[in-house]
Amino acid sequence: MTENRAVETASTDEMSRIRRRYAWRVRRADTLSVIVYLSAAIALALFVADGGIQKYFTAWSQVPTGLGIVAGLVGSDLMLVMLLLSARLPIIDRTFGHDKALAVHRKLGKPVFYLIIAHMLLLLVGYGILDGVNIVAEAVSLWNTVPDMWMAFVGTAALVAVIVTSLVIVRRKLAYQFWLAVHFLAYAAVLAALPHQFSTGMMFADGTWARWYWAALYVGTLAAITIFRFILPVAKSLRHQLRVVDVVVEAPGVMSVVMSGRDLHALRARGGHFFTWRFWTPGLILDPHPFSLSAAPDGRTLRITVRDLGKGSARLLTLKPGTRVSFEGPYGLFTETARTTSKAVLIGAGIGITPIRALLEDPRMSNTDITVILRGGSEDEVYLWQETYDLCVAKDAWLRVLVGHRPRGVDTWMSAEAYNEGERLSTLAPYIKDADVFICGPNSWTDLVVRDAQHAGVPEHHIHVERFDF
Amino acid sequence: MRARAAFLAGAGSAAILAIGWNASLGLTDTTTSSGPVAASTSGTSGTAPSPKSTSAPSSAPSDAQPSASASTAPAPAPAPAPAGPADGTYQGQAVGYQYGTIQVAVVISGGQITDVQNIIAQATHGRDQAFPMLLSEVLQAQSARISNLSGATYTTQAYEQAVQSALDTAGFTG
Repeated sequence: MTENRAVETASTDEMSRIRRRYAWRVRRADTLSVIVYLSAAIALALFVADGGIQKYFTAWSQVPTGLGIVAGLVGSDLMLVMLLLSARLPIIDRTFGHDKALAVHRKLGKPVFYLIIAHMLLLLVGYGILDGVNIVAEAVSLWNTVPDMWMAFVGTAALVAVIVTSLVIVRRKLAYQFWLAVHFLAYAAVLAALPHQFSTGMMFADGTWARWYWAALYVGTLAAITIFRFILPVAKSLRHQLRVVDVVVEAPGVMSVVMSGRDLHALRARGGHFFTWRFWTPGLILDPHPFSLSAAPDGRTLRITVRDLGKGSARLLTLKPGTRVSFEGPYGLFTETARTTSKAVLIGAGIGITPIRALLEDPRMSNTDITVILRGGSEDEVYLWQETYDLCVAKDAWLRVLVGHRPRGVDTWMSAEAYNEGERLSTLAPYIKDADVFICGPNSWTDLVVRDAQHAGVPEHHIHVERFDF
Repeated sequence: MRARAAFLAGAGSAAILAIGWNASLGLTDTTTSSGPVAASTSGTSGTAPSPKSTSAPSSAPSDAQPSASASTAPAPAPAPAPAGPADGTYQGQAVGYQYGTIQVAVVISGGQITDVQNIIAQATHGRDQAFPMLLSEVLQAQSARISNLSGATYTTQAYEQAVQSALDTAGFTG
C-alpha cells in the first residue's frame, strides 16, 4: 500500500515536470514566432519611417518603386529567417526540432524567392518610368553606373540557380555534394546582394540608425551560421576525439557501429537524438550521414545501427575499428524532452526501430505507461529485437510486434495479420489518446501511422515523428 | 497560447508600424521646412527628402524660379563681351534627376568662377562623395562642361545642368 503511494507521488512529480517543460517549450515557440513577425514589421516600419508612404504612394508613377523597396526589405528579412532556421541554433532545435525548422526553411524558400525577384523587377520598372526607358535599358544602366549593383544582379542570378536546383534536388534527390555546392552558392548570393543595400539603398544611408539595425541583422545571422554550423561542430569533434571501437553485425546488411571518445557526457546527447556523422575513411569522408543513436548514451560510448540502404550506407559495412569520426550534433526533438504527458506509445518500423529503442532506454522514460509497437516485413527485419524486448521487460512496458507484409488493397501501416484480426491503434495501445506518440519509419509508412493516430484522437502536439528516408 | 502569440504578433506589428508612421511625419515636417528654399549654404545631403521625390522636376517649377541672391541682379545693360558678369553669387534652377535634386549657386569674382555652393545636393547610392570632385572639375574647367565622373554619370550630368543654369542666370559665358 505504502509502496503504491510512493510510485504515485513520483509520477505526479514527473507529470508536473513534463507539463512545466512543455509549457516552457510552447512559450519559447511563441516568442520565436512573434519575433519573426515583428522583424518583418520592423522592416516595413523602416520604410514607413523613412517617409516611404509619402514618397512612393502619393503618385502612381512612384508606386512600383515603393512596392519594390518593400518587397526587398521583407524578402531580405525572411531570407535571414530562413538562414537562421537552418543554422542549427540550439534554441531552435530544442524548441521546434531540427526537421520542423527545416520544413519551415523549405516552405519560406519560394515566397522569399518571389519577393526578391519582385524587388528587382519592380525597381527596374519604377526607375525605368522615372528615366523614361524600358527595364532592360534601366538594368544595363544600373549595372554600369551604380556601384555594387552588378554584384546584386549576380547574387540574384545565383539565387535563381539555388532555388531551381533546390526544387530539382527535392524531387530527384541529387547527390549530397551537389546539394552542398548549391547551398554554398546561396551564402554567396546573400553576400553578393549585401553591398548594394548599404551603398544604393537610400534607406540605410550613412549615419541612420536603420543602417545599424540592418547591419546587425546580417552580422548576427552570419555569425550564427559560422558559429553553429562550422566552428562548433569542428570544436566538438576535436574535443571528443571520437573513434569507431566496435562494429557488430545485427542482421544481414545491418550493423551497429559503436564509437567512443572523451567527455562524451558533455554532449548531453539522449536517446532519440541524431548526429551527422563523417567517417574518416576513403570513400566515406566526403559523405556525411545523418543517423540516430540506437542506444541511449552512457557517457562513454555512442552507438548507431545502420542498414545497407544507399551507396554510402553500403560502404559503412566495411568500417574498421579505430576509424576517426567527426560529427555535428546532437540534433532533434525525438527525445524524452519532447514529451507532453507521462504516457508514451513508441512505434517503429524496420531500421526506424533503432531510435525508438534508444528513446525507450532513456533513464527518464520510466514510472510511466509505455507501449512499444514494432513493425517488420519479416521476423529478421524487427531489428534490435532482443535488446528492445529486454528493455520492455525492465521498464515494465507493453510490447506489440506486427510482422509480415501489409494486406493487399488496404492503406494501412499494419501487417495483414494484425489488420485482419481487427487490431487498430486504439486496441494496440488503449490509452493512446492521453499519450505521446513517437513514430519512426519510412516516410509513407509514417504518414499512415500519423493519420491513424489523428483518427484515434491524439492531439497534434502529442505526435512526434522522425522520418527515415535515404 | 497560440492565439495569444498571434495577438502579440499582430498588436506588436501594428505598434511598430505606428511608430514608423509617426517618425515619418516628423521627417516630412523637417523636409518641408528645409525644402527647396534658397539658402546659400551648402546643401542638405544626408537627411534630405526623397531622392526620387516627385517634386523639383528638371522642367523647373514656376514657383521655384530662382533669382540671383545677395549682391547683384543681372545687369540689363548689354554687357561688353570680355567683361563678363559682375562679381556675386548667382543661383540656378533645381535639377531633378534619378537620384535626387541638385541646385547650386556659382560665385563669380573677377570674371572667374571661384566657387560653386550646393543649395540642394542629393545623390543617393552613396554618390554624394562625387560633389567635391565635380566642384573642382568645374573650377578647373571654368565652365559647366566637365568630363564624366565614372560611376556617377547621372550625378555628373545633373550637376552640369545645375551649374549651367546658375551660369545662365549670371550671364556667364566663360
